[in-house]
Amino acid sequence: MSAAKKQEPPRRARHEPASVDGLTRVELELPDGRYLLSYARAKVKAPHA
Amino acid sequence: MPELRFDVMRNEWVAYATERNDRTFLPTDHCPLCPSGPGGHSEVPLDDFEVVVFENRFPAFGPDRVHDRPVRPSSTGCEVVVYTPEHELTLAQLPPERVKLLIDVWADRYADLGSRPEVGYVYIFENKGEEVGVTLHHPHGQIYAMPFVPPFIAAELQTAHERLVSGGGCLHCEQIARESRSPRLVFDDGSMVAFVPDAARWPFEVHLYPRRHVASIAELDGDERAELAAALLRLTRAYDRHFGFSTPYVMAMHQAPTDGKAWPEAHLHFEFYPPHRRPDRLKYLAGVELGAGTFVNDTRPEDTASQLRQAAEAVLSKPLVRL
Repeated sequence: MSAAKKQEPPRRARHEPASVDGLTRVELELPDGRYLLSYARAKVKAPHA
Repeated sequence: MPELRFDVMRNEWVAYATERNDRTFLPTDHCPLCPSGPGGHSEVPLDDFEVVVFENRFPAFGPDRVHDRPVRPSSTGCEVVVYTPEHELTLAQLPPERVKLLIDVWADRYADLGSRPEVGYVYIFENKGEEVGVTLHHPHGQIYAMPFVPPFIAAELQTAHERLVSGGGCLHCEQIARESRSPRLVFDDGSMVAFVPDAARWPFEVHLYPRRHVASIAELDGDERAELAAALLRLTRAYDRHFGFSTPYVMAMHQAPTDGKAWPEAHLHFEFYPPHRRPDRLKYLAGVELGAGTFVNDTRPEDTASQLRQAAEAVLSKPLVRL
């Protein structure tokens, strides 16, 4: 299903190791201050905002 | 802003979150959980992802907000866990490696949220289907970082504690041993055991346990997480196969509180409550359940377990059917 209209993009991104081996966790800050965490296997390239 | 009130008559907390009354409800022209690209309008402004977790825009519990932004550091809170960017899938249709990743994410969130001083319990769950109140169909679950241990889990822990201090063993381990030899067994994969409990509230209620005594999802080792992924898929696919449609359910994870104390009486497990009592009938909570707290079940656990056992066997021998 499609997403709707545009908004301000996430403001920052930082990579940090998650507490489980083999995970990559990328933290983003959404425009309203909430956080979003994107998880992937370490071998997979993490998505970028 | 979310608010907690304590009911002295029932000795329980009630959460108020009036903003949730206006939350997104079954949108048909867009999906807030689909990836929308950088700057996109969905909740996930990424080009793609595997599993994402974000703070619920409409939380039932904290964090407090000042100037319309969440207070940091976060205290309690609610998170949404999106299982896949693919809108049409369900947990049952995910590949095993994605479910394994999801389990790793649950473990990370349990550890992370549980480390916050204000969080007493990390409650991980999934509501699937409009029949149980889902407002977005994209495959996702939720996590509530609660400031107290919720009553069902507190009662379970208290009973298990009493058994332990009276000289017995783990109540859950005893149950696993008993049910794995009972007619209520759905499947036993060695490290994972699924059964309809002896006193199930719901007709097709199933409890899924790791056989090893672990207090939380974070304590499962890598092999057990892969085995749990396989077991979750087998169970959810068995439901779909038995009912003949993508089966709604509530999935609730029970595990140790995160107050820093030892909880030897806690034993990680999943409880599934599908609302159907047969493919064309729902079980409703009504006068006896809601007004008196006593469940009336129209089926015998031994009978529903037999039906689910056949479906779980078929899952192993027949390919996944997309419903």
